[in-house]
Amino acid sequence: MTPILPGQSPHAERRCWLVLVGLILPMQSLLLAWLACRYSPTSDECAHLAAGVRVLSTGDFDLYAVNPPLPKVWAALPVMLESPRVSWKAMDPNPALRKEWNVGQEFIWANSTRSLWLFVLARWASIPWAWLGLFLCFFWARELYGSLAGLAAAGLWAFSPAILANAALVTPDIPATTMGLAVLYAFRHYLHKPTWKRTVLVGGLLGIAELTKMTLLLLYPLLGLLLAVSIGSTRRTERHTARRLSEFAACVVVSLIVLNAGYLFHGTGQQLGDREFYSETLGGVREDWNTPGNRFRGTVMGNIPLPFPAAYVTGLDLQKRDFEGHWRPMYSYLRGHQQLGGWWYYYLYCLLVKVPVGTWVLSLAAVASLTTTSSAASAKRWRETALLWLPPLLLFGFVSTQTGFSRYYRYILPAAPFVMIGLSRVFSPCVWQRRPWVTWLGTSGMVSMIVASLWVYPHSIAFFNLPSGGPANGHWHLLDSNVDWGQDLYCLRDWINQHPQRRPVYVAYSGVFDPRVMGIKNVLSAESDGENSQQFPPGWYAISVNHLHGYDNPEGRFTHFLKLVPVDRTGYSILMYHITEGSP
Amino acid sequence: MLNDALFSAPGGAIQGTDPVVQETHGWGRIVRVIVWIVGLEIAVYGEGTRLRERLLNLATTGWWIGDPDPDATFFLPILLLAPFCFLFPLSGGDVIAWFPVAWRQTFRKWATANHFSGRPWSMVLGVSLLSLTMSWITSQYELPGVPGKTFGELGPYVHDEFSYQFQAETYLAGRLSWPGVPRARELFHRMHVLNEEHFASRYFPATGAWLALFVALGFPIGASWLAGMPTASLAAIITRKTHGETAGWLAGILVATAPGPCLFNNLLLAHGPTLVGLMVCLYCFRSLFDQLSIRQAFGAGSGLTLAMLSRPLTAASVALPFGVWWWWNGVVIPFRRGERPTQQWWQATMVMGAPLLVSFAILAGQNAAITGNIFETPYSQYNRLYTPRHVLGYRASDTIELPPEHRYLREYDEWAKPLTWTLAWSNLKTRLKESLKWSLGLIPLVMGAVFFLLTWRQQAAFDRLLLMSIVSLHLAHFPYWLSGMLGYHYVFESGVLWLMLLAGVIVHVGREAMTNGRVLAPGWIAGMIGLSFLVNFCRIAPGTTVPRVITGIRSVTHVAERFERFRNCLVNADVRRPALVLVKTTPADLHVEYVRNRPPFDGPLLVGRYRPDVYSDAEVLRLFPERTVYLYDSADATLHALTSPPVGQP
Repeated sequence: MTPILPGQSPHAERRCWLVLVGLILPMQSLLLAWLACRYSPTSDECAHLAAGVRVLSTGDFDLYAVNPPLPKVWAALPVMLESPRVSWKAMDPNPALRKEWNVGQEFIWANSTRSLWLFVLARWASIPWAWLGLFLCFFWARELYGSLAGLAAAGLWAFSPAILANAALVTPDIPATTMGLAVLYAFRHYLHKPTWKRTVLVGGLLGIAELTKMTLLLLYPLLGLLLAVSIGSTRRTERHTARRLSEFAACVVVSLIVLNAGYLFHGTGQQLGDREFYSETLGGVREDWNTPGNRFRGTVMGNIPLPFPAAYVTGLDLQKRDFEGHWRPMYSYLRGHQQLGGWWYYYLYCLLVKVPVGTWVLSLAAVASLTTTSSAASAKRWRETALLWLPPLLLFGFVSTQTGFSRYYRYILPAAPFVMIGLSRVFSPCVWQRRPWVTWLGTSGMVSMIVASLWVYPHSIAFFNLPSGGPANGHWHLLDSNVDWGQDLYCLRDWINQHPQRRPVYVAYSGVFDPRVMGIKNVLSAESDGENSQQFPPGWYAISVNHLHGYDNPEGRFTHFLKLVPVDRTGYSILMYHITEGSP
Repeated sequence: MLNDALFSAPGGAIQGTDPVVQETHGWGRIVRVIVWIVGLEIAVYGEGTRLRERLLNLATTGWWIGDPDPDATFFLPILLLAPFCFLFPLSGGDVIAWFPVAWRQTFRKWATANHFSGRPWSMVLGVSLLSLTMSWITSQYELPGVPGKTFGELGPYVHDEFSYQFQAETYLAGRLSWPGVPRARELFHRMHVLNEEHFASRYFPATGAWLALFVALGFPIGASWLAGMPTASLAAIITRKTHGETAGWLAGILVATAPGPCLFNNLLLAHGPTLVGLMVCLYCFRSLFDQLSIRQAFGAGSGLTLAMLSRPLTAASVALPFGVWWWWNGVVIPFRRGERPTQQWWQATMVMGAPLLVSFAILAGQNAAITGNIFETPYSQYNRLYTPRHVLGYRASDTIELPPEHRYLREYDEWAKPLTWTLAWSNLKTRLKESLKWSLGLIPLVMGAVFFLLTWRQQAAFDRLLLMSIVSLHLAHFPYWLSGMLGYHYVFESGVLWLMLLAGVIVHVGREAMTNGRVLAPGWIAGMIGLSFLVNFCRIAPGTTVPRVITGIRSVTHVAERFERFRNCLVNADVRRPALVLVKTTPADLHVEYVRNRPPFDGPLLVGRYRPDVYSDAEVLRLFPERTVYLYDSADATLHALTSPPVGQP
């Protein structure tokens, strides 16, 4: 049988396009749209949405400054059309106090159950970020390995549980992932054929990327490194090093202009010595980390004007303070063990338990496909390999070295699309022609990944692969946004509605959203209240797995329930226990 | 005698050809995109509204298919797949090889051109049987609120039905009316029955006549089932004449399986005979498009006569565009050419008008026999005497001349809201929306309608007249305060016309897609229609979804539960006969028909209205000394005997 090579003719190209736009895109949109309705507001979202609404209603960027404004403002746009009630009583002029969650709670109480709908609107507005990522994966993979590979990369993006879980939320993770990819995609084209137009495009995209998440500051050194690799792998006569460096400088300038424009140039050009800092790095050593300091004040450096907006610098400084451990005790949790400080191998472990088995099979196939590569090395190949694999490796290496705390698998999310594009090579015509079994192996992995993801859907946040015990056992491996981000209140509400005979129901919920807004009563505090804290009256107990393991609060009273056997669960983050008279 | 020049209107269909141009470029593509966006917009809006309501009211979205919006929830994913199905190039050859040879030939025939397989008897038979089956299936749904009883078992339910049934019984007794109630007439007012010197249904005569045979057989609903059969098959035949065999079958199937018609086929209303008459009229007009024929003109007039004697306003408004067309082609066009109408045209016009004249004579006779005035119908007299607010037009409440108190049906009359332009406009929108929902589904019919309108110039002249009939029907009912049963029953007949238009559009679009190698497109269309059917008749997810037809049954029969309560109370109580049971109603009883007495009002059990404002208890007891008088209080469903008050008390 002569194999039909995909992506060979314009006819096949068109079919691939139609599959992308006509099938994968609507399917992903539907999955995300429903997820947006099915998750209760997660902890960070409460703060993000309130901050977005604040920017749009007051023009101030001071709330939740550790996150740049673009994703939250974008998400808040449709919310503003619903004329939400706003209240800023919980705000504090001292940014170090991090009042964003208090303001978020205030926003929720002000809008009551309407806030649930506002969150859905904000999440729906965030879906286009995922669309952009989908197209970028498709384009990049198609350019490297053909149309079918493009479809495979798009499929990986569309159905990956990690992408699904985060793309349906009002958080900056997917916008940052997408924009990181967009910058590198544009930079790839720039390296292929450097022009001023492309320089400006990369700069503009870089500026937008910086408006999504602070982590993307890494893009500056990364682009520099990639430029160096490119120059280094080019013949000396074709290097034009000076010109490349000036274009790079222009790119940085454009990005800074865009970044400042995103903050409406608020506080741009302030001198370093005039700022108030809270991190040790910038503020110096102090007794109270909530009082500002400035180690540059009175020095020569203090006169340097900062080319960043004031709120951006504040956010950067606060973020630094968090990593230094000067904000609050940030516990890290791994496999039932909790400690102050993280592990270098935390993210490797996350990959091991959170990545679907199918993706691992596909990775195996991708490794096997390397045998089909011709041995002849070329500058272009080097450049492409560096563009594809340096960003994820650099990111992975960077976050793994930040062992102040290890809490969130989503920190390595920006690496995902590059890996997906890399894996899609399994579907390239040359692999299919030379090693069809590799393509078949990759196909089976891909199908298995999609099945596994949809099997757990709509509980994608709590996805854990089968060998790790699946999502039901996820909390034994990881906690927090990896399994319990406060997303299962609707499931709890449904459980309470469906079991009217099971009363009273006591709720120990670990999110920021107040369950009482949804009419859920008997909400218990995690704080120990003295001698009787381990005494639980008979009833049904809904315990968030974060509380169950005493996450961030090792003395928490609900660790008592770890000894008991849950009778049910709502979603994968809230376990149900039944306490009767005489229960231990 | 042919008069091709006059009767082949611009854009008029010629038998066996598709009048819509075979073109998907330019405007054709834009039209398809617009149609898709409109459908998607409705689905997104409906789904968004549903989710919003759930979040605001329940603080949870619940499971996706829990309490779905029948016009949005399930359609959204299918609509999202439309671009793929309509654009993905999959030629017939790619797919057709998967199927058996016989299927392939059918596909090819379908894909290439219209064709006619000789006489349409198989279509008539098939569609009629399908209509009958669907009517029967609809009658078998369990009645909400009355366990163990089916929809078909307990009727009639609606006031109008009782009146029509009574009319049929009156005719079977060889009468046009009965003598009035002999004693305390005001206690025995029946809804929509004139209760004066003559006791007669207020309605026009054709419906009673249509029902009579089946009422005599003790199976009145059979008359409505029967009406559904020619309606569906004539819709098929008419569409076949314009768009070919496939469209004919499709139109027939759509009409036979439409939830609204299936529901109304189980009610004793005037819509059945009206539709039969109108479809005969339209069929004959469709033939007149091809050939001027005295026979067809007579058929058109006869059909219209049947409809006029059932629901005159509906009949007139549907026929109006065709009448204008007839006059335009017969008089105006020749006049512009400096000619006079042909003799054949005059003959045909007279033959067409003759049955209508007969109908006027019948009406005049009925009027004279019941109201004593050939110009006053029982309908208008009933409204004047009992429910003066229930009329067409914008009359302020304070200008309405109220009848004498004892005749006046206050609660029912005051149910009518004063008509304002806002209310009329709101009713128009409601009727349009509900007519589309109950005829197939909002999204497929809106998409079909938008396509039709955007390709107006390419549509067959006959189809354009059908659309004008729909508009005319809506406009005729514009100045009325009530949107109707299920929000649309005054424009019920428009549903069948919509489905005929949709069938033409679907076949055109599907055939064109097949020709262009978009084999998935017909599958998508079939999916939309199949989904509509599922939403209308099946529990897609048991326990969470309710078929549209059950929603309709619930809406129409909500009174049955209250009447059953009354009936059970009578059965369980030890009622001494002969008896008179007076019913004290509550506002919730507005649509319950408690009073169902038949002339000559001497049965062992009479039921009357409790009207202490007209007759005190003592008077009632005095007027009916031979009967034990009971009072049924609907508020708490209790029955107790009325006794004379002690002497000295009123």
